[in-house]
Amino acid sequence: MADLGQDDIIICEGVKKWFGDFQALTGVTTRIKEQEVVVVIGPSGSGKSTFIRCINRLEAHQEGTIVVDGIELTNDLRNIEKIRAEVGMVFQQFNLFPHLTVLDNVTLAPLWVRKTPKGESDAQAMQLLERVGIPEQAEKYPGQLSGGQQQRVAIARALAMNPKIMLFDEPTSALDPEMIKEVLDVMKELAQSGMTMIVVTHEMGFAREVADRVLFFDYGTIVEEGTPEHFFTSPEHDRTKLFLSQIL
Amino acid sequence: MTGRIVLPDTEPERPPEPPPHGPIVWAHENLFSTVASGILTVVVGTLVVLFLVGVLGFIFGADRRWDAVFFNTRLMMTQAYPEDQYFRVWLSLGIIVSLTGLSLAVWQVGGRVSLNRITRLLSSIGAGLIGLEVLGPFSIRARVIGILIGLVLIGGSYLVKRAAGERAKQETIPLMAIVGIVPALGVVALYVLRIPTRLAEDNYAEQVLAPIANSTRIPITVLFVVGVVAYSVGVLMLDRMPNATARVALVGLWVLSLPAIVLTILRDPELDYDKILAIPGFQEGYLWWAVIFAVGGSLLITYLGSPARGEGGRAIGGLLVVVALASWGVSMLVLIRLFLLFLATFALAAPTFGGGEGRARARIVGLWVMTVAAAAYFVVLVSGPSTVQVQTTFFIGGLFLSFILAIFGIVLSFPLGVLFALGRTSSMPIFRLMCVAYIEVVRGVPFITWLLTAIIVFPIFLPLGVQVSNVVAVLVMTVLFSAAYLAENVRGGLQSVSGGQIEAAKALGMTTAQTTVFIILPQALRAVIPALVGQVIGTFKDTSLVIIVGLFDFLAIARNVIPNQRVPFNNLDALTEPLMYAALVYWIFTFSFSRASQRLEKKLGVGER
Ligand SMILES: Nc1ncnc2c1ncn2[C@@H]1O[C@H](COP(=O)(O)OP(=O)(O)O)[C@@H](O)[C@H]1O
Ligand SMILES: [Mg+2]
Repeated sequence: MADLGQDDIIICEGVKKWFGDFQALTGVTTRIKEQEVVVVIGPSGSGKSTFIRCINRLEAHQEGTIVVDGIELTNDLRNIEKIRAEVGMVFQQFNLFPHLTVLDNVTLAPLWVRKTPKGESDAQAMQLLERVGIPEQAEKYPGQLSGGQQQRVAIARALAMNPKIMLFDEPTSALDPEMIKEVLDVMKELAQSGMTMIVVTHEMGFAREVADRVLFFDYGTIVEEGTPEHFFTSPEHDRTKLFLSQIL
Repeated sequence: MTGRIVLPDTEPERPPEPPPHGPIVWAHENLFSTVASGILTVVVGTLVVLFLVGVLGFIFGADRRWDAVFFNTRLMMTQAYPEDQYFRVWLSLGIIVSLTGLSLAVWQVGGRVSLNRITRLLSSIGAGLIGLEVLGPFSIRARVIGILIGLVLIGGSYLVKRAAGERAKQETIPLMAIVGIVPALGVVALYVLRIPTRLAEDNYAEQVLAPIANSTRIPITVLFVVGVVAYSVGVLMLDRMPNATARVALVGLWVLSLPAIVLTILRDPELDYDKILAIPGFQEGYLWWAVIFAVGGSLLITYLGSPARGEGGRAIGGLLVVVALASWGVSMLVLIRLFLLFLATFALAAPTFGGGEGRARARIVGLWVMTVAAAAYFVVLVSGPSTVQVQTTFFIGGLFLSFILAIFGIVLSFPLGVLFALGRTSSMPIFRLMCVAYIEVVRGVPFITWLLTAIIVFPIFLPLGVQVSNVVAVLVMTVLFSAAYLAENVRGGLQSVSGGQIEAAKALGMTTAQTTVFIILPQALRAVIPALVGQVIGTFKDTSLVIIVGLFDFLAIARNVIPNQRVPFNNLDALTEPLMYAALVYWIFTFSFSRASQRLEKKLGVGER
C-alpha cells in the first residue's frame, strides 16, 4: 500500500455533486490502483451511478478533485475526450446503437476516435466478439440479440478502445436471470486479465469472488470499505449490516 | 361458417394443413358470410359497377379530345425549349436517370419479392383489364383483345403458381427486375403501338395511324438503357466499396449535378472573361479569388486540423462564422461571401474530422479545394446570360420544370433542413435563436408570398451584376422554404433519440460532431421517414404554385396553354383531357414514391423500435 500515489490510476478527493438543490455526492474520497477490481454496493439512490459517471465525466462534479490516469477532470473538452477514450463504460440498459450491426457497433469508436484503419479495427472487433463468446452474431443488429448477448456486445464495444479502466453500472440488472451468468463470466475473465474495474452491482457472489475491494455507498458517500471477506463476515457499520441483511 | 377442413387425427407429428385459399372460399368468408352482408355486397357491387361504367365512358368516350394531350407532349414536357437545343434536355435527363439508378441500387430500395406475390399481382392486373374492357365503351375488337390478354395473364400466373407449388412462397425475385419491366414495356410500346395522327399540323380532319413519340423514341430508349446500366453499376459498387462512402459520394453528385443541369446545361451561359480574369477586387477577379481562397483556406484548415490546436481552433472557426455572416451586409462579390461561409464551415469541422492522422487532413483539404472550385464555377455560370434562345422570358417549363423544382427542393433542402434542425436543438443560444427565427418566419408565411418575394427581392439582394433568372430565384426559394419544414420534421426525430445513446457515444470518447453524424442523425432520420416522405410529396405537388410568378410548370400548361391553342392545333376549350392527364402523371409519381418509401421504411425497421 505505497501511498505515494504512483500506481493509483484514479484519485478522488472530497468529490461533491449537486443536482439542483439535491446533493447526490457528499464528499467521496478514494484511490483506485491499477489492475484493482472495486465493487460498489449500496441502496438505491445512494449515488453509486453518479459516482462512476463522474469518473468519465458523464456528470460534472462541482467540488473536490478527480484525477484519472494522471489527468485532472476539468471543463477542458480535449481532456475529457481523452479520458473517455481511456475509460470504457457498460450501462444497465446496454445502450447499443440500434441502427448499426454488432460489428459496426464495436468498430465505430476505434475507427473515428482512434483512427484505426478499417481492416485492423475489424480484425480486433472479431477477436473481441470471440472473447465475449458471440463471433457468429457480428452481422446481426442489436435488436436481434438476447439481453445477455447485447450486454456482451456492449462490453466488447467498450474494450475495442483498449481502455485502461472499465466502469460497469449494474450491468446485469436489466437481464433475465438465466442470462446473468454469461455476462458475469465475461466480467470475471476480464478481471483476471488484469483490467482495472469499478463495478456497481447487486451480485454479491461476484463481489465475493472477484473484488479486491468493496465500497459501500450511502447518502452520497463511502460509508465503509474493505476486502470482501471483511465485508461479508464482519461489517462494522450499522447501515452496512442493515443493507447486507436485506440483500443476502 | 369457415370452410375449414378437419383433418383426421391419424398423423399427429405433421403440422395441420392451412385452410384452402381458393377464391370461392375467400368470397364466402368475406363477402357472403351472412345474409345481410350478402345483400350489402350485391348492392355496393352494383353501385361500383355503375360508377365505373360512368367514369370509363367519360374517359374513353368518343367526344374526348385526347389528341390535345398527345400532340402537345413536347409542350407539356419542356414548354418552348428550342428543338435544336433539345440534346441539352436529354443530357440533363440522362444525368438524373443515372443518378436515380445508382441511388436505387446503393440505398438498396429494391429487395426481393416472392413469386407468390408476383403471380397474385399479375392475376389482379388481368382481372382489372377484363373488368375495364367489359365496363368501358370499347369496340368489339378492342374488347376481345383486352379480355384475351387478361385471361392469358390470369391463366399464366395460375400455371406458374401451380408449377412452382410450395416453392412459390420461398422463391424470390429482385423487385427492381419487376419494376424495370414497366418502363421496358413503355419503351417497347413506343415502337409497336400506333395512334391516330394528323397528316398535317393544321389539318384536323385527316388522320393516319403512326407510332407514338416518333421523334423521341431513340433518346427515350437510350435513357432506359442508361438507367438499367446505372442500377447495375450501383449494385457492383456496393460490393466494391463501403456503403457509407458510396452514399456520401452519391449525395455529393446529386448536389453538384442539379446546379450543373439548371445553370450550365440548360442555359449554356455566356461568360465574361474580363471579369473572371481581372485583378482581384471586391467586384471582380473570380478566378484569382478562387485561387486565393483555395490556397489560404487549405493552409488554415491544415493549421486548425493539427492535433496540437485544441480549443483555439474551434474559436477561430466560430469567429469565421461571424465574419461570413457579416459579409452579407457589405458590398462585395457574392463569390467571396460564399467562400467565407464555406471556409467557416470547414474551419469548424477541421478539428473534428481532419484531426490526427495526416491522411484525414489531406482528405479534408482536398474537399475544400473541390468546394472552392465548384462554388466558383457555379457562381461564374449563374452570372452569365443564357445563350439558349427562347421565345418566352424563362428558359424552361412543363413537367421538366416541375421535376427540376421538386428534385432541387428535396435534395438541396435536405442538408440545409438538417442543419437548421441541429441548430434549433443546439446548446449554443445564438445558433438556436437564429434557427428558430428562420424556421418560424418561413413557416409563418405562405409559399406563394415567398415566391413573389423571391422574384422581387433576389435581384436586389444580389446587386453585383449577378443575374438570376426567375427559374433560379424560384429554385432557391423552394429550397429555403422546404428546408424550414424539413427542419421541424427532423427536430421531431432528434428528440426521439434517447439520452442513453448519446451517453454511450460520449463514453466511447466520440466528439459532439461525431455523435451527431454517426449516432443521432441516422436514428433521428429513420424515425421520421413517414413525415419526410409526406413532405417530399408535398414539395412535388407545391411546384404547381410557380405559375403565380409566371413560370409555366406542367399543370399550368395543361390548364392555361393547351385550352387556348388556336393555330395550328385548334385545341380551344380542350381542358378536361389535359387536366386529367396531369392528375394521372402527378399521381403516378407520388404513388411510386410513397410505395418506395414504404419499402425503405420496412427495410430500416422503423416499426421495430
Ligand atoms: N440527472 C439527475 N437529476 C436530478 N437528480 C438526479 C439525477 N441523477 C441522479 N439523481 C439523484 O441523485 C441520487 C443518486 O442517484 P444515483 O447515483 O443514480 O443512485 P444509485 O445509482 O446509487 O441508485 C438519486 O436520489 C437520484 O434521484
Ligand atoms: Mg444506479
